[in-house]
Amino acid sequence: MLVVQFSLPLPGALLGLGLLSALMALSKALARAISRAAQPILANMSFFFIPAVLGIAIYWSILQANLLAILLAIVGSTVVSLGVSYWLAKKLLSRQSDEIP
Amino acid sequence: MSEIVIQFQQVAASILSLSGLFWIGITVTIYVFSKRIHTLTGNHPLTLPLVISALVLGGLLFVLDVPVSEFQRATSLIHWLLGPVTVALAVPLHHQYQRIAGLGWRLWVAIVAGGVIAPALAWFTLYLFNAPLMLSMTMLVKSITTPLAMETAALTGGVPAIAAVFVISTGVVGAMVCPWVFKLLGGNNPAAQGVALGTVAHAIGTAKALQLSELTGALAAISLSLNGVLTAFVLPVLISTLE
Repeated sequence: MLVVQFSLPLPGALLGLGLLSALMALSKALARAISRAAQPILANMSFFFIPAVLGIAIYWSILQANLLAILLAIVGSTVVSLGVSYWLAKKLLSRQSDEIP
Repeated sequence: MSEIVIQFQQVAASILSLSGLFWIGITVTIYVFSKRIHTLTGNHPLTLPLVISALVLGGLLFVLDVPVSEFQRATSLIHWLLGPVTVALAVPLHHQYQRIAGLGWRLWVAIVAGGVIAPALAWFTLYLFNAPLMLSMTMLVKSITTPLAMETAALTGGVPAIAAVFVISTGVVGAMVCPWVFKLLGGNNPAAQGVALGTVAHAIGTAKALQLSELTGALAAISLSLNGVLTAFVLPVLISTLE
């Protein structure tokens, strides 16, 4: 998986995702091996975000000056768009729900 | 390619240093401890391992008077692995491919709607508050996965490091509020929940979706990647035309 990542230009993560999907579609044995290898990574994905999150401290003063606006923007837009996407997806996808077990 | 080699050398240098080993060790220890807390509290969204780990580590850095920039340099291996790790999302995607393929254009409409509403609303809120332009530009990438968001922010006049923080906050908020939002709107539709979580709350939402069910996780993974690619491609073009 890392080798796949190395040989690619940016945006590597998505090209890698596509390539790995293609590889898994090619061979069933390979797909099984890859999914076994990926399980611990998938279960612990949030670990890799820890250093990025702490980056907040570097820009603390700018963020603090606009804290209310930022909080409102993030919480408000996230709640509303989660709701709208869920509602819309539910409407759009419900016709297929009989086919989806 | 040479850029990757240089990056790799920097990462290698930071691991080989004593502080690199020390801080990566500390981070792993705190993460394992946070996971235990998350399990003990019945997987409550407020105790997401990422939230607990960041709070504990932030406190530790503050007490020990270590600058965050130094911590980030020491643990650059972890941050650098974020991209390759995203590739692992191909696995749930592959497993649910048959189900996803049948959804067709309906899925696209739902993803694009969520992908446009979230950044537009956040941008407008900051505009109303007269916040600095660089903050509102950074806000536009908040719903896509961290590596893509940081690259896109750099292209659109935002700040990559702030982008990372906005992205994570959005993900944490999304993962925390989703049970209430879904309950409020009613109907237990795992596929639609996956679409909403992946589109709005990227990889953290997808991690939450994977806890709900494999189907939810798969749809979250495909929504995350479709919205990520769309935003990363469309946003820089859109902004350069407007300027």
